[in-house]
Amino acid sequence: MATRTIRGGFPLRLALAAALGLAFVSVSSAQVPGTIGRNTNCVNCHEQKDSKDNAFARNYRSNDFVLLSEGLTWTNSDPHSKAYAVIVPDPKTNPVAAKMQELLGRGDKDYDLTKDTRCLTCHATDLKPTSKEPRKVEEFVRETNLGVSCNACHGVTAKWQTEHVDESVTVKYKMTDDAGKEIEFSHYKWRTEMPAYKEAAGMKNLRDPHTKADLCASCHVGNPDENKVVTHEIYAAGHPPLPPLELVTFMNGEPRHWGYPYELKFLQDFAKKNPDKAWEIFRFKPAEKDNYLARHVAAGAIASLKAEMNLLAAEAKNTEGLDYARFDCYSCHHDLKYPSARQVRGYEGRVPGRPPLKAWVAMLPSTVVAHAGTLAPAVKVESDKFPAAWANVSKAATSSPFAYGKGAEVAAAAKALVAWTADFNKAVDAANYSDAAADTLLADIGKALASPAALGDTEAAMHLSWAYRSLAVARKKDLTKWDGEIGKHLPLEIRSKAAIDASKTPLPAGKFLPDRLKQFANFDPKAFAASMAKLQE
Amino acid sequence: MGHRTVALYVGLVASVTVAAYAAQPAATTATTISPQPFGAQIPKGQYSTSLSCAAASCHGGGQPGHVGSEFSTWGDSDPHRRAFRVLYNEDSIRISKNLGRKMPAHEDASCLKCHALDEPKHYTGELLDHRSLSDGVSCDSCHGPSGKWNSLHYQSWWKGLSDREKYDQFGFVPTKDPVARILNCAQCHVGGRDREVNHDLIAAGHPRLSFEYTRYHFSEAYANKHWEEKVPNPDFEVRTWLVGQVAGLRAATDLLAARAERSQKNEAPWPEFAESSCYACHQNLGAELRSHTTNALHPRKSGVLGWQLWYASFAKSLPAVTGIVSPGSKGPALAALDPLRVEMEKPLPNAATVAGLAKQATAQLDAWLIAFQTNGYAAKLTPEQWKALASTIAASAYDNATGKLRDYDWDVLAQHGLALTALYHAGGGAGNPALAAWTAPLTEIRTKLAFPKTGGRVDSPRDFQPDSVYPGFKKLYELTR
Repeated sequence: MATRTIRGGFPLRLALAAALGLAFVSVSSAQVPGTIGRNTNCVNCHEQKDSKDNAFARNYRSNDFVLLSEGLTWTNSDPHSKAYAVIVPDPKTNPVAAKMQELLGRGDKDYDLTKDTRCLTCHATDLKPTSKEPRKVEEFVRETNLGVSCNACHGVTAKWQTEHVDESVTVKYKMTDDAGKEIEFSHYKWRTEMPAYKEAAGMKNLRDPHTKADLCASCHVGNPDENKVVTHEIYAAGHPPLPPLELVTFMNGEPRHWGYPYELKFLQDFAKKNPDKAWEIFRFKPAEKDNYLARHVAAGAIASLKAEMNLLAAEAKNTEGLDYARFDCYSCHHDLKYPSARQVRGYEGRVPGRPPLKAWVAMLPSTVVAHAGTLAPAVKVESDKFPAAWANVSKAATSSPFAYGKGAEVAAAAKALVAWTADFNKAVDAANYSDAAADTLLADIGKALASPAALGDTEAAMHLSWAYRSLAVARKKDLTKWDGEIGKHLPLEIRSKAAIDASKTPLPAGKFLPDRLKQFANFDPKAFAASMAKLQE
Repeated sequence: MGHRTVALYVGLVASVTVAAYAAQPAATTATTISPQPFGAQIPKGQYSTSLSCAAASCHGGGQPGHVGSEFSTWGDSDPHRRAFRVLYNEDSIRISKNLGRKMPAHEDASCLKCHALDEPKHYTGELLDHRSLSDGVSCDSCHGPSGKWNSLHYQSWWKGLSDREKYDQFGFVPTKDPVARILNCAQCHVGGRDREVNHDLIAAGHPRLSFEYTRYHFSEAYANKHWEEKVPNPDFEVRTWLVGQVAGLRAATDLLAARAERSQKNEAPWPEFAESSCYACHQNLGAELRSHTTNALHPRKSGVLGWQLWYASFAKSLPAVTGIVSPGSKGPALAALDPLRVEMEKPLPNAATVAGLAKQATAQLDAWLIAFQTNGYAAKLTPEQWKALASTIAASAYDNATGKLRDYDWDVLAQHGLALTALYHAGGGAGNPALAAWTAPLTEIRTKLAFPKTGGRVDSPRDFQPDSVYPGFKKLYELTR
């Protein structure tokens, strides 16, 4: 097992920089080398402009395992890199933050939005993400060019960051190259370690759809244990509404800085030789057996539901009832007009005027869960439990306005549903999403989208339409007609044209949000139904 | 300004329809502990249909608009006449359906309480008397159940009775007294202990209630009245505006107490959203929320629903106003209102705390109304008094020290617009050259607050820009110095 030094690779660059007495300066950002929570060391390897023409590709064929361009993608076009910048108030360039500073800081002249730990847990790199203690501002890396950086998602612990590129511990691997030639090369031993090993070293196992989805959901839905909660007070101060989390749409829109297994040669080769190991280590199954993105659509739907249930349970514990933010925003937030779509539609047994829970939270899961029951009998056992479990939550949360006095019932029902997600996920993991199953899921989501329930809820309709689109792309369906019709009513993607500038750089929410909210406000169920009917033809 | 500006406010809020609803079967559980002004309760007694008033020699003279033809005028053009009929329309059908009611609206006791003559037999299981129902809100609805006084009230000795005696002993509502009159209106137009328009009902399709007496009194829809006011301006309009505010708030706190009490017995929803400013929530999400612009002097915390901003808009300035119209007295301290507001503006107010505070607030407001009934007020107002009133009300909207409006909630702004309009007319309106400069800012405020007219019926101030009314209120403040 040879120890090799990469000529021209990062050790040399670091050594050179050290010799010259300079701190290493990456192309995009000035950072302090070796400081946890910053990206300094990451970009040494993960900012390769050419995936093949670099030392890591040449020496370890790292480009067959990861893209190596991650940092460039993240810096240049991922909104996570702007996560902290967007909470730095500036009336001209960042009016949303300026307004929030003003409104949240009412009566407190020392208030500083950029030091409010309620914001920092999601808008900066949290060095103690699992801390349950009252948070301190020093526990966050707050730099305008960093935001939610590599470490924030992949794990802030130093151990794995050095170990995953430990050149002293490599293993040999044989595979067929592009030209069909059998080749042998070495890769870091870390690469094929078991997830438990990596996690023990502090690296998040983001290859696991559930772990990944839970992590995304921790900010994009919320996580009370990690102090990640957008309360109604924060929304009312100007925080944009959190759009429903559809995992694949979010991954594509980020845009993803990583390859899917079927795009990476090493993983494909590894799976062919060790299908069981590929699942154990990298959490994917051979493409002919299991549709990777269908699995992710499902995992994302369940993780969002789980995150929202955890929020409900935590809220219910703390107050006589629940924070307004746990309910459907648009049930209250609409201008009043007659005839009212809600009144004409009716209330399906609910009392009018009592805000329901966010419809999107359960609508896609309902479809996914019902469909999953067709995958295998073991899944059906779990999926059959869902309707009643959800009904319990919904009933408890809406039996009085904002669940006033019903905290205990809500918490119990929500916790039961969280427990159910673990059983369901386990069953789904053991089953396969064949391409045929992905197609029936696509059809089921299409049907759900045309149902009266979806027509009555813009957010749910958007969530379903995003899932539909994700699956359709995965199944290489022609989306021209779809985009033409649905695009009239809803943003087709989380990062639609409005949300990025010409160079695909994310715009601050203040720039695109008003138009998006207007589109939401103008959502016309009748016209949407007509579009859906056209698409069903 | 053409027709009275105040009339133009009609239609700002779509609650012109007289309508109310009782969430639960008749449960008049009001327990009178503290003294109440006469008119505060609906008198008990035997109701009669309007036919018993309609004799040609009594009130049915057949010449609408003339004395002796009160019944004829009412029958000819009073909107209350149509109160029952609307229960058959499409909106009513939908409301009943959405609420899951077992019977149609025109047979639903909870609707009939305000849409027809309040006659207990309608909702105690006896056969519905459609003849009396079809009168809508008729004579006895407002004048009191006439069983005891119908055959007495034209006798000479009747005039010798005090208002209190007529009310207490005979169930006659002395509607000439503004306090009794407006409290009586408020039973349906604000809500009472056994009748209300709550948020469930509004969500099902019923218009919100937003009673302001002068707006109703001078509305075009109510132009042909079956009576004549004996009190000239400025006294009449100042009195009715002032009593409208105090009595409206009194009805609101009494209703709140009833709601909070019922909710503890699981007979009513809690929190009750109809207690909060409608447009705090009901606005499309956009770049700027309309209810809590940071430029306001007294902004609420982010995400807080302002409690009863419609009826409590003047809670702070009414004691001063009372001091002006009743020299030597000032309005009683309303000690319970502030803590009540604090509790109600919590995300989830405690029902028991609210019930207690709302009862106290009601008693304090009752004491105020009794003082009006006992001591008199706003009699022969001088120009100086009028000026002091205008100045106080303008300063209630605009704070010169900070250069800010005190609140940006639509309800508060509309109430101030209506108040200044009432004063404008009390002071002579367009007929008074000294008030010519008021016309433009008042009209502008009304225009900016108006609900959009295009695209069907819109019941909220879509596109309302809070800052747009700033110049108008600032101008009126300057004009009233």
